[in-house]
Amino acid sequence: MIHRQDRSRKQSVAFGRRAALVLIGALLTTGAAQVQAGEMVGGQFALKGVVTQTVGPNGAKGEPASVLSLTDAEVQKLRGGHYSAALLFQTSSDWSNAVTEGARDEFKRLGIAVAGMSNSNYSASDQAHAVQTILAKKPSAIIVWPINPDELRPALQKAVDAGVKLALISNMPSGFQQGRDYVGLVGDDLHAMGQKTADGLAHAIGNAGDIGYLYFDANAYVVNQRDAAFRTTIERDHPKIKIVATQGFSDPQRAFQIASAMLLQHPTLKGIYVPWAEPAAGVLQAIRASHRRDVAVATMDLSNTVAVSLAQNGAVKALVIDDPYAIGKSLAAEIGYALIGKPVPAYIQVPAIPVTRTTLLQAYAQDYHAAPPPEVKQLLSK
Amino acid sequence: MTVRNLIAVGGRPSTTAPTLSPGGVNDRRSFRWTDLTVYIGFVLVFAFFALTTADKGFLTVQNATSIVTAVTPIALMAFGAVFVLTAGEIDLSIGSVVALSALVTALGLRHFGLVGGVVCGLAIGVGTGLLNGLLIVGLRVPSFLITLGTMQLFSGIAQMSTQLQDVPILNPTYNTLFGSGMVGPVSDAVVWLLAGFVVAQIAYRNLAFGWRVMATGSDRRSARALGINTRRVRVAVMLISSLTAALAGMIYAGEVQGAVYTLGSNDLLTVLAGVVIGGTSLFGGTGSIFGALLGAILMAMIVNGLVLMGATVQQQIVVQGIIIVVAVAVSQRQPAE
Repeated sequence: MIHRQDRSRKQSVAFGRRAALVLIGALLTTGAAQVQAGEMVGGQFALKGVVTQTVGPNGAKGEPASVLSLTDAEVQKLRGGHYSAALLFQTSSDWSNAVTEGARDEFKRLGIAVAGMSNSNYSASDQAHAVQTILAKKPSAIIVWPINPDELRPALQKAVDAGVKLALISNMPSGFQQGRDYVGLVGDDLHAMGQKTADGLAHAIGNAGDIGYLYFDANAYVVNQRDAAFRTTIERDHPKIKIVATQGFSDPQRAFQIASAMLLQHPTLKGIYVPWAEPAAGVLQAIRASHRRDVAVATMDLSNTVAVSLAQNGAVKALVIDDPYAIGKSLAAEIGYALIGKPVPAYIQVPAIPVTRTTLLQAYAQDYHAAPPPEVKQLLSK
Repeated sequence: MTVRNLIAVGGRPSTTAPTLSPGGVNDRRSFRWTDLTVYIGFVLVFAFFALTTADKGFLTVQNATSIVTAVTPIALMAFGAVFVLTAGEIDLSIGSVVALSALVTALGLRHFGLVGGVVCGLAIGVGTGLLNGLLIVGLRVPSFLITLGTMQLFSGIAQMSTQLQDVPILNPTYNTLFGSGMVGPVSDAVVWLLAGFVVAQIAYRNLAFGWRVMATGSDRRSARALGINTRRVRVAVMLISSLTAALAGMIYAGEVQGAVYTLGSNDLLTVLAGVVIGGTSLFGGTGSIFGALLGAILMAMIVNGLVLMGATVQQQIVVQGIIIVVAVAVSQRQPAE
């Protein structure tokens, strides 16, 4: 018993030392990894990149999701194939839920079983493992939202070599070729999303004045493109609007502190751009805390907190969403195309949709296929 | 003389407060400059930002409110972590408890009103804390491993509870009470911060319970020999930790006026860093509530000052890392073997 106590004590001390090292190491390596990011990716692209249009792979022009259609005979052929497909996402979110919903509905129509799903919490290595894990179930196809496309290449190549059809969301490993390596790519109109958000904010502040720009300072293709498109539009199309405060973030929970500092240092701010709904909640908190009722917020993607602000005529004045349900449906249809050997369009692009208080319920129903929370319905009924 | 020495010579834990020492519970121990790490660090960091960012708003009331708002949930969790670490345990699940309590509170407010929502949030704290504690003593598995598992468990439940959707809070009374109200020119979060500090400080330094926690963390076998029910103490500290995390989640929810499953997901390292810088030992037996408060404020102040200076995310992370390494190297340095 005494030995056990002594051993326990030693283990406890050893654990304490290890825990301290892990704590220090975790904080330092996170910083180091981010410092080593290459040029014009991540936050640097958001700061300096110019986005004036959205182009698909190899310069392909985006086609609407409506071009995808399968005849009854093709559907019957697919239903008799006993195919299966997996969905691998970057993370779990209501956006990915809506993509999943769209894909599931289409897979169900086509008789394709869902072999599995994975959320890799923005870990590229976890996503590579997820691809290998799902391959054990021998799916006919995989829908993947790549975290780091090039890091994922070896795992995806194994899937390709095994004859698995790949349908990609928004981005792909460099050098991948349609038909040989993947069946199709579906994305949103990133330029239009940034542009419409910028135009919406400009309209809300009377097309003139100072604004703050919160951008995502991490390597995330979609968000980086949208941020740069917003900034590009403001700089090119709205000469009377000045971005006087610029600050990046990688942790959405820091948005409150950043927005608070912006409001403190720039009392003339009439608006703040924030890339998506989660950090937007922190910006809204900062605006409330600083008792500024005259600051407009522009953001993208639908969340209940942002919807509440829109519904109560709060600070959110510009909200633009894509159509995640259509993205999921298109990806599943592309897989159907590939499984029966039908040529898949090079690039399917869903539109950018500005949302207002009037169109809020429509956005929930049509684009997210989700029910609005009672709080939103309550506010809209007033 | 430390608690460990007191117990080793057969001293009985007393309800009397020991001599104040920044590093924790020490009785006439020789003075060590390293015990003042958090104080010196706090003064240096404050002075640095006061000098370099005074013209950028660092010394304004509005900025102080911003810091208090950011630090309150972190500090509350830090107080709980002092009890846990002092008892020789660790709780990795606090971030998940934050999200779960915030979401359950928001759902409770939606369905049962103010009292129901608050009760739901606190019930999450009690339930998760008891589960952690009972699993640790019942299965005789280290708290690190148990809470590593429950961290995932609670996070998964939080995600499932609303299918990843955030839950808005429209109850004005709740929002006013939990972080969105004002006390004079500053956020009412300061009331939670001060109340949490006073309660934790009294429990840790003035009640017999605090001594039992220190004795358990110093030498569990000796503590048992002195009649301390160390199993009960270990369950109690896990309960305290979860309750503080649940309260932090409820304050986050009031501040944001909504809850989402990602709330608190990045708080664990910040809380542990603040606590350790504040003089609490990772090896159990000693700790400091006041040190944890200063450590938490120090962490928030560093972020705040760097943001005001316009530092990039990468610069913020590197500077935070360096300050933590220096502070921990000074305050947690072990005697040569």
